[in-house]
Amino acid sequence: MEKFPISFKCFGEQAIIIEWPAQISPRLLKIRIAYERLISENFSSQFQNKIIDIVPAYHSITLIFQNVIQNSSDKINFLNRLYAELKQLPSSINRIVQIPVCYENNFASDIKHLAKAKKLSIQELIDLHTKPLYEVYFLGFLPGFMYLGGLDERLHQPRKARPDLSVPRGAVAIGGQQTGVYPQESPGGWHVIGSTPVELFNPYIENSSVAVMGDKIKFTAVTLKEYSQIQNAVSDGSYQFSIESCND
Amino acid sequence: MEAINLVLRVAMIKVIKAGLWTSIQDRGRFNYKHLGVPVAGCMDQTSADLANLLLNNPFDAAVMEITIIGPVLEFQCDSRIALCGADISAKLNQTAISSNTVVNVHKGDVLSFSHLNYGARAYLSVLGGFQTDIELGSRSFYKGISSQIKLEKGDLLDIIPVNKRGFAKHALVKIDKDHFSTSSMTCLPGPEFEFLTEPQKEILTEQFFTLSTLQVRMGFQIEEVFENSMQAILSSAVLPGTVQLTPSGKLIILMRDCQTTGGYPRVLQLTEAAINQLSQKTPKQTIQFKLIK
Repeated sequence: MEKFPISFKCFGEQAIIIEWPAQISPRLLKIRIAYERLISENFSSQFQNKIIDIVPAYHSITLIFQNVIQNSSDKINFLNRLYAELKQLPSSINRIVQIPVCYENNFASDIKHLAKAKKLSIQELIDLHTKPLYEVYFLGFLPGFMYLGGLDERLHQPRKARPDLSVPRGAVAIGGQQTGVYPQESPGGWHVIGSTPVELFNPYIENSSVAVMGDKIKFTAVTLKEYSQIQNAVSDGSYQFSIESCND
Repeated sequence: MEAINLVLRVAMIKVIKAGLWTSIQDRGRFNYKHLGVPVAGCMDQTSADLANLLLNNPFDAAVMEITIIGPVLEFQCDSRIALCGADISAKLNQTAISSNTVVNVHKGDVLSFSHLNYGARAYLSVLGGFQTDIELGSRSFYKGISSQIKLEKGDLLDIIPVNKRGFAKHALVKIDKDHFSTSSMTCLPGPEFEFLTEPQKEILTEQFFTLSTLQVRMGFQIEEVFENSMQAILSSAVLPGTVQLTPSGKLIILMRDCQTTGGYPRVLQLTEAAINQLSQKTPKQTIQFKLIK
């Protein structure tokens, strides 16, 4: 199996960062997920200093330890051996999570402007945004915020020079080469093209985040009326996410 | 049900005034960073630990973090408290009380604060610890996770009931004044430190920097602009204590509520000790980054 070169660095007194060459790649995502699983399964039996948090990102995994790292080379050697043992990627079953989005004016403060800048009609913009199966590379920035890959190049648009002070919860937006959903109200510099009535992150339930790293996301366009119906279902607890499984 | 609630809620503290930014914090939230959930927790963990230690509380008991302007609190039960960290001229009723020692409080007593003598954040521990809801393994307030982000006038805080346990009577700890006065922030190179030029490295680790008025639990900004040609990086993990360098040359020191990942080069990483010390700084104070390796 062809793998990417890997490097290890201490990150402060209590963390080790594992890095691959800087790139956003579905193949690297698979390798990273498999490697992270190997680390989770094997590391704790080898060392007293426990890993208390793992922070994955596009091309890195950061391991945060309970205590100050005394002997980093032991741990790095072990991690290196573990990477060498990664011979093949387990076949995976992907979850596809559907997220309903209303792209209508009230929810899409920047859609006209963005469509104009990209020389597209609003319908073309919506079609381009709802077509791909986006990959969830990792969650970060805000609780439940998904870093998605797969935005059509025709929709790439630099972030706003002056970020908005408040982007509403549920806003679906485009920034640079990325698209995402704001899981809570927050300042932000992305172009807002729609809104979802569903709750992507709920700290009060067991699986707090609907989608996790490695899942796929499909945005589906809904009308204003459907938006309200879904919103009602969400608030009375009867809303069920549409989640499909597919083989790799 | 009413009766049960009454029984469970006998030990309470009422917030009469909230102060500038008062919240409940413990050691923070672990094991949820992969969902984008920040660690949060006490900005100055050293002082918070001391406040719990004085009362023989569990080391992870939740304390009240008080920032620069203190709250006014009314005790609705007898208890014991300890105040550590910043000295904000605490008074119990009309009498000044000392920090870094155990103080007995009685039902009806009012705790208030006035001017700031030193530091920026005081920690109030109460025998047993504060009993706010545990969300994702921690009582630390954080937007979107806990039901509130700071205390408000009228809030009622429960205290975890404890059987009177032995603890050092008149316990008093001697505090290290250096913790509040030092300007030297010990740090290690961050993951992108090596991409700085030699003159940049020298300026970063030798010059004094001024803390701006932008000081929140998420991070502290530096006033001086740092000459920089480094571009943003592909988003990757950041930690409390990470010093980020923005493309426009701003230095941002991330603190306990910082996001889990970020896209600015991470040039330095403060030690735990330095994060705790920095938490006791107010705007306009100067600091120096001191590499220890």
